[in-house]
Amino acid sequence: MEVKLTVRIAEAIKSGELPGDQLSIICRDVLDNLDTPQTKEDYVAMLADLASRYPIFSSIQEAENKQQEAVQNVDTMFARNPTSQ
Amino acid sequence: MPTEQFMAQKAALGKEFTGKGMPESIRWANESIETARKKPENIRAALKAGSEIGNQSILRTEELKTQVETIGKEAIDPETGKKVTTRVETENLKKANDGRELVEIFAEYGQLNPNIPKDQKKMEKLEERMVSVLEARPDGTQLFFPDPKKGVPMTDAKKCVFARKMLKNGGRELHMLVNEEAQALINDPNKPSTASESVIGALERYKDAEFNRDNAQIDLDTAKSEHQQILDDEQSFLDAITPGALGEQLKSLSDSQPGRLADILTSNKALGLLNQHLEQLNIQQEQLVRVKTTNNDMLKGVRQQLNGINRQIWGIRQQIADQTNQLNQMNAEEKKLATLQERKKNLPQEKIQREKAIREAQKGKVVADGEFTAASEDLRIANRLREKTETYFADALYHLPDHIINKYLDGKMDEVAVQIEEAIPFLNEKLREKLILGLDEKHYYEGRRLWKYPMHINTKKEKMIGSAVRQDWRYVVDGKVTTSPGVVETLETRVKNLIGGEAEWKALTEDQQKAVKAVYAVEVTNRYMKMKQERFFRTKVLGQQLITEHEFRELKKHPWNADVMEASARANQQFREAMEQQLPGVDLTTTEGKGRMWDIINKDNVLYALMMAVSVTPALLQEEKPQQS
Repeated sequence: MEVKLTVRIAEAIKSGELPGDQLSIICRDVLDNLDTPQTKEDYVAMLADLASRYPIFSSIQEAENKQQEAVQNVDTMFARNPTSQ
Repeated sequence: MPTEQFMAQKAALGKEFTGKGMPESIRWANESIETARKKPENIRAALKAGSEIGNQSILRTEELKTQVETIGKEAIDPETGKKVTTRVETENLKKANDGRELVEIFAEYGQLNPNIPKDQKKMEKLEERMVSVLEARPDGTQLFFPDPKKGVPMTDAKKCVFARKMLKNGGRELHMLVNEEAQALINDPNKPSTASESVIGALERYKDAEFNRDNAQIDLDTAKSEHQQILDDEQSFLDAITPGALGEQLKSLSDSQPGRLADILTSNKALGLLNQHLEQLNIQQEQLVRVKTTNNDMLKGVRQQLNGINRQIWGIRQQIADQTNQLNQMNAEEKKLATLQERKKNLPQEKIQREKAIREAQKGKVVADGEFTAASEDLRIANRLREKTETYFADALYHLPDHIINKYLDGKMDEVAVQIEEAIPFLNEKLREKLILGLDEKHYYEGRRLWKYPMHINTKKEKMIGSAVRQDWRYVVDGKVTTSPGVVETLETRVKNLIGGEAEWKALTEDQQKAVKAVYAVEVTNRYMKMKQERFFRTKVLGQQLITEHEFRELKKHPWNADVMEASARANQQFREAMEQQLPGVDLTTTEGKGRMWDIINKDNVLYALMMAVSVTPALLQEEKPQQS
């Protein structure tokens, strides 16, 4: 997750999407939040929080949500028919 | 001219672009992307570095922006559009490159562990690189690494040894040297650079030059692109206005409102940005497709794993079932073995018991043979008695009270009992008990001796073993008994002895004495008939299978109990039915009826036996000839 966030910050910096004077702020913010989550749900919540404050993370959040949704679909399918494998 | 306007716009865009360029953050971005690609585990360090890029970096960025603008103007040849590089800049750039490479070598060298063979090889390569850098600049070698003893350039071997020493010391000497040189440069900026420029100064200049070069290159490319775009636009514009009225209108519009055409072109640029954004969206879509494909692959893998796990579970269940069956079989075998061992253990005892049973069976066979012989004897005796019956019959009837005979003939055994009960009121309970117990005591011991032997033994010793009951019967029949030679005991004496003695007898009233005699007569008669009844019953009735062996055994074991009465009553009923069939319409209670019954009985063994079972006439059962009255 931190790799994705960092690369996204770097891409935003390079493309000018993120002003350079916010680099230290956003990096510090991300570092402060990285160790807090303990579960996958915590990570999703943290990502939503970051995306709400920094729109550059919206794409990561959307991708994560889709992946989470796909995992939930698989879990739901197994839960409905666990012996169909 | 439109071209001038476009150029002015370009300059504004270029400034805007340059203003966005923040060297520190851009450099951080490039390094971070590289770190993410090569060493993702160090990405937190990259984030930390990003967080440390603070306001000073921003200020420096502003400063550099000014320098870029200045240098960019000076470095770009307006004629050729190429960067102008002076000799000094080239030299500084080369030094800076060398210095940067040395610093990188130090940095990489410091992270290696000399105790690891793999790292040792890397360290050797780094040493070779350092030597090659030093050799490439012999004049700089002295600058960087002067021989501390001679102050002259070192040989290659010394360079190598020195390089190793420097590397192992973590570059401390180098930094000290560099700091000194940098301080000297600060103190005297006009000092000739060829000999006194420090590595840091070279690096700083290199960084600036590199940054300037990159920005100049960006500006140059942008200018070129926009210049070409302007030329194309102009040409298109001119081409468009030449053929027709629309061109004329556009030309007029361009002349009258020059900013309008620029707006149109700006819109085209915005369109290009939109296209770029669209391309990014397409890239994201491709990424999503890849994610979906990856998820599908993951799902397929998960399914395969689940299939494998299910197969393993099935196999484990099968193994458990097989092992359970084996365990059950083993338990059954073990139980069977234990049973066999127990059987084996008990075999001697079983053998003893079996042999004992065989012996008892052999004994039983002997007894059975004896009983068979006795039965044959009894039958023979019975036949002989039957021959005597006609002779004895009249005498017997003479000795038996008529009312008793009638009761038995009618099967009214209950009435006999009632008769006894009717006499009881004349007796007190204690007196009656004495009488009955006295009879019981004597008849029990004598009777037990009588009943416990097989019938043939009884028959052979009949005079001895039946004496007790028969003696009492004699009191009833004869009124007296010769108990010993010369001693005659009367019925009254016998009754007196039973109830206690002369004093007890005289204490009774006359009615009570009569009652005692009556009860005694009935009781003794009853017992005597039962005794004889059993004997003939066994011989005749059982011989004709009119009752079962079991009933007979019960009669034998309990001659005085209710079963005897019941069996007797049943035989009496059969006797009566037989008589009624033989003598239909005849009153069997009359003297004539009795006479006709005896006629039939004397001709039919079965009826005779039945009569014996009923014990109708005890006198008939006497083997000895009754006394003539």
